[in-house]
Amino acid sequence: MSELTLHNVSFHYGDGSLALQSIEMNLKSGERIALVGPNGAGKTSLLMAIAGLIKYSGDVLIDGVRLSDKSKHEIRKKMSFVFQNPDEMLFMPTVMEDVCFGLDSLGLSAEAANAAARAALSAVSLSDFEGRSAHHLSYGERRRVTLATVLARQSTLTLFDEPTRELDPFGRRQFIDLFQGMAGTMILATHDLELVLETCPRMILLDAGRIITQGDPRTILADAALMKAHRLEVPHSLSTHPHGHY
Amino acid sequence: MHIPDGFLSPTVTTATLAVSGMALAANVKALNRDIKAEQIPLMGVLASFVFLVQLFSFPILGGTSIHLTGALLISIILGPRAGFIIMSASLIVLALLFQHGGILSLGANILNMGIVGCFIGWGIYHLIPGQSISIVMASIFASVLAAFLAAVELASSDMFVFSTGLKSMLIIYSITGLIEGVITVSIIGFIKRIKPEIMELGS
Amino acid sequence: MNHGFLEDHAFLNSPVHRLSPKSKLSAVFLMLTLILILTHLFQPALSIQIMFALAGILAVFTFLSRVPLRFLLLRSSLVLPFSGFVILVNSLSGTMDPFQILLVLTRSILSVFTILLLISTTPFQQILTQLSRWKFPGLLVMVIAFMYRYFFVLAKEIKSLEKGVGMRSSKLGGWQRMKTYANILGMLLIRSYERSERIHQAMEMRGFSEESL
Repeated sequence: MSELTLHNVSFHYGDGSLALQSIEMNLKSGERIALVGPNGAGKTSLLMAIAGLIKYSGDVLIDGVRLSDKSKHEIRKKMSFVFQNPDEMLFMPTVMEDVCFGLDSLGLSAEAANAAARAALSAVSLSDFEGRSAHHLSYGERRRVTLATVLARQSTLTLFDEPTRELDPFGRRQFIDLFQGMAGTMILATHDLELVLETCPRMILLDAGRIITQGDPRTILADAALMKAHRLEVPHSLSTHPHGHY
Repeated sequence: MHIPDGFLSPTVTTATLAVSGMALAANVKALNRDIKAEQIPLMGVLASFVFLVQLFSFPILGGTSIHLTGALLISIILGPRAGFIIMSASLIVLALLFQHGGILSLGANILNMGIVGCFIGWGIYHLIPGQSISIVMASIFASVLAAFLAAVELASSDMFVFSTGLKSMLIIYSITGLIEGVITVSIIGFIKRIKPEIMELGS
Repeated sequence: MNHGFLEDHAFLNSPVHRLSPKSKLSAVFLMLTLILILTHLFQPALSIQIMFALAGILAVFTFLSRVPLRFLLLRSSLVLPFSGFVILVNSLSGTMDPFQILLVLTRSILSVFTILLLISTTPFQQILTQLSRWKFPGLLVMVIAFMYRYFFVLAKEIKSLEKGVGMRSSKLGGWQRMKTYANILGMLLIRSYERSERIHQAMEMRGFSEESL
């Protein structure tokens, strides 16, 4: 599983405003960390920087190798980035081709790629949809296909951007079950605070491009004043003064 | 006007298929040479936009609506070559999945709407580029020429009599061309305000 | 919720569905060509008999395919307005006799019916794959594939844009309405552009590069 280090990473938007400010971060192999913060905090920008999709200043090191234009192709072979919107990741004519996409650049032969894709689709219970196009699938099913792409790649570092967004409770539960069974170092950017409590032993609170604090979600998310200061809310399950009850 | 199957003679069908086929082949070859891999998703997604535009009924005055082609719009944004590929793709899929226009008559439809719209239409616009009036003039001319060619193709297939229908057809299509031109100007104006870099893609 | 209406029956099972896309596409091209050539070769009276024979063949395949005849006939009737227009123009100038009119009608309906039978028994992706096996230009195939894939996404977006802008209320006058729709289309185009950027990023993340084209 991959180790991740960020050192003094900063990023400015096109108009000059600051998206990320001197971010320092360390993830050990196999760690799961949640990225929490209000809208505009820079969560997506941080994930994009780690993926090498934006031009930032500072250093991103994955397994000790510094991310650069030269090294990013090799490094990306270990990574998966699950976008907020599954339609942006599933662009091939069939679901099978979506899951197979890019497996050849990992060095897999066509047969090996097909086998890996089949296994991955089976793991997310979507084997019957192999030959279908993604638009035939429901939103929740499309989300599961994006998970299948991660499984097929056997990534050691996976980035998730709002993975439970717009999922109904059943779909959300399906995601959590699958997520808990997945291996690798994971970063989860999310507003779903209960998800954080359930799946991530560590979290980072981000606001205005800066890391406010990091540590145990059960402590951080229970701090009502801190939550309020950053446009968040203490999750219901941690709340000693229920927000409202019937 | 999407001409369905069964209205064009074998001669007209073959001739138009040959012309459109050669135009497609030539443009694909040219684009394959010039295009970068990263531009293919762009072409593809904008193609689905053009496709939707052609399916979509644009409401105009009096409770009526017209069908836009999007040929001039996409050619101004991506250039006539890419525009032509996209128009052809859209006409093919419209014919297959929605039966707007026939399969063998694709030669005629691609000629009338693709070649005319993207090359001749764009060419006229490009005489004085960047001006709303050029867009409107180009749109009217392309629309009328497309209708005229369709009339010629149908007449050569003994399906149409010039003396009866031509004048009213040309009047109607100059009006729809005018309307589409105005709408195109409006859309481009909107894009220039919100995301002007899209208008620079044409290179 | 699933926008499968374009492939209403393509994923059913029948002897016709199980035929290879290659044979179905070939048969369709053959049928369309026969309809085109035979009716121009022979006199209208004979041509109509040929058309009925071809219709008979189509009827057999329709029956075997288990695709509802009503559905196929209904969709085929969409070609009637154009036929009507042509017949009207020719009737006004008296250049068509009843046989020719009947011929125009049967030709157009049979052609459309043939295509409908094809897409009702063959998933679109398979048609595309077969076309690329027949050396259809790769660029064109890719554009069509994307077009098909994202059409439904856009269709959904335009509906929500319409709602968001309040198009449900018809209080807007003609010009306002037009301007609003032009803005909606502009918005849709911009979103499409931004979407294509993210798709490209997704491709990059999975190893797509210049060489892999």
